[in-house]
Amino acid sequence: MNPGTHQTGDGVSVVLRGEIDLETSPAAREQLLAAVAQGQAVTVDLGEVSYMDSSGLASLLEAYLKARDAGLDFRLTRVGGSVQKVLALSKLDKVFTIV
Amino acid sequence: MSAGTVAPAARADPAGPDYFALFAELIEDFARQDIGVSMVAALRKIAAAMDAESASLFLLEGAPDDPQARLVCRACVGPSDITGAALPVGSGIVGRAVQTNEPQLVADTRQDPDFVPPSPQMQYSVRSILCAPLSVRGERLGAVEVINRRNGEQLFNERDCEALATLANAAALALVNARLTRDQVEQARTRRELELAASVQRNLLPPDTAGQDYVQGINLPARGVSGDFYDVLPLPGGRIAFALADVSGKGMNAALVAVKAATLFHSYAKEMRKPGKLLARIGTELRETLHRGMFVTMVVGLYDPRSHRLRFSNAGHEPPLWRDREGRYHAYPAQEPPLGIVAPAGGVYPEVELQLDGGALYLYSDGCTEARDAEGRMLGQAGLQELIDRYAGLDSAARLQAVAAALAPEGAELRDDITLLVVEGRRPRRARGLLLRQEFAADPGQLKVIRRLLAETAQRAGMEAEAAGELVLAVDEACQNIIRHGYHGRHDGRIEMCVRRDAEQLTVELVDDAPPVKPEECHGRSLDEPRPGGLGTYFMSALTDRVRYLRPPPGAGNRLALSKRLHRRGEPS
Repeated sequence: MNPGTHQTGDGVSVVLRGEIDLETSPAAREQLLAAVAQGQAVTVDLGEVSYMDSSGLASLLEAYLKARDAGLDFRLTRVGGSVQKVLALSKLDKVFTIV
Repeated sequence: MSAGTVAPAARADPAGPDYFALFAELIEDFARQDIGVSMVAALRKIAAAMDAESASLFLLEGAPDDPQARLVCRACVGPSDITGAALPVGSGIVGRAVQTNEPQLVADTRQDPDFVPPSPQMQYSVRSILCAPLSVRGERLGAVEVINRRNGEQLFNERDCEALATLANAAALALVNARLTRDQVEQARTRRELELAASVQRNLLPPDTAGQDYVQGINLPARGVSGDFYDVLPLPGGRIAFALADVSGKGMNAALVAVKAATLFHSYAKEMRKPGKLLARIGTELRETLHRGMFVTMVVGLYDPRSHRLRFSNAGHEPPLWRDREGRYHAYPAQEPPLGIVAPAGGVYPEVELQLDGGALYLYSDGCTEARDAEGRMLGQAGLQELIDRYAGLDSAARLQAVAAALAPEGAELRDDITLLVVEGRRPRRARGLLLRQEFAADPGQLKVIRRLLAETAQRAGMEAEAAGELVLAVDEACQNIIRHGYHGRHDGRIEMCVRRDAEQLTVELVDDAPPVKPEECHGRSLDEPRPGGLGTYFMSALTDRVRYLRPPPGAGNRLALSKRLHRRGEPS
């Protein structure tokens, strides 16, 4: 597992950090898909994400759909400020489970 | 060393065990496993190699001169398990080894006055003992002891003694490594304290100097608190004092010294008009605060906007760069060492005087010139000059933002604080309504620079923070479309961004050379079905007041204009 991903009692936890944009979202996408591939529930911690645009959302969404198809739980946590805004704007706050 | 290393022939002794190979093996074991596990395994191997009946590891707990300190057995192999047994530091063969830092060979315990007989409950009689101290760079950690030799003679010899000393080194290194790891965990805890101190320190930096027309600065700390600082102090009479400094070391110590130096500058700059004397005064006072080995590199200066005359002094800092009105660079290397080492010759620092006259003076910390590019090459003075040239068309505040953003590596932490200051010889010209015009490579790595520049420009134009954030996101999405769909992911295209203010709105125009877009293809999609993709265009229209495709300038591909009101309707401007 890469440094931002770790095992918890509850499944796999992925911590994303910093700005998730066209430059950095491919790495985030890989991290998320790798976590889903573990075959357990996935929780994505967005507490340290300072910026997210549509490419970041696309990565989250892709991982979410993969998890859904595999019957796995996929949750977002510590959703703050700017991330909350883009989720609400895209109406994805109704799609994702946010804890 | 890797497993399978063959001991050099010179040391191979057909009569005795191969201690050299065992040493290599132990180093490997310690590297691969948890220290608790590997220590017991190591003792077993040592006991086997030396044909000893038992082996034990004692660790010093408490400082060596602390009367309460104890040598405690933390690992043990052999017929009696004495794990947990504690001896006062001076006591026994083990105590002697630790105190003298010398290996101890006791052939016959009945002859040695230091020997402490085991309790009657012990299953065997102790006949001979070999004990080697564990220490690394003078720090006493404990000792390894082996007892009774199993073969006929039952005695250890000098060679065994040397060998145990060597093997003990492996164990000592492993222990030190284990402690370093534990220290790192503690460091993570103190990081939170540093973050708190950083927010305090930020409040001490001069307020956003965007209002200052002549001197601008920027400071990006690498890790919470900064060992760099800059300061800008307008003086009565219109002159402006400025300073930029770098404290050696990192973390809390450096940050506290930086705060002290900033305070000293701030107090004395008001009374002292000669930079050379000011620097000397700061240095004298700082010498009392600095711990041994710490030093501060610092430049202080004075600028008079009416005469365009600038004077500065440099104590061991990176050479200030004057970019003259023709765009040529002149560097002024320091003649004297940093503050805190020795006083300058004659008690004052030498001064440089120049006429800014349409040019600009740059001060910077070594975090800037030592920044590395994607290939690991150091930027250097030449690289910094190139960056300054690239953004020369921007006004000074925007230029510093762009340069600093370009220095911050993609997604990674800064290696060192980045601090920049510029003294500009003239007020920035403003074309009517045009706030910013800058060209960028159409590259994903440029998006963060675009975002920072636009955020700064929008806020200086008076747009409130939330609206500025929305505009930045919309423009980011538009640039992504240009990179991905316009240039089809090629990275050799360009995007030119202009920001204009008219009446109560800002308009951002993006010009590219990609094939012309058909406006009908640009509508955002509906959000009914969650699908990755297509969100960008939707964001562009949702976050701005107007999106238009305008006639591009001759020869170019597309011109996209995004407009947004500075304030929400009904709010005062």
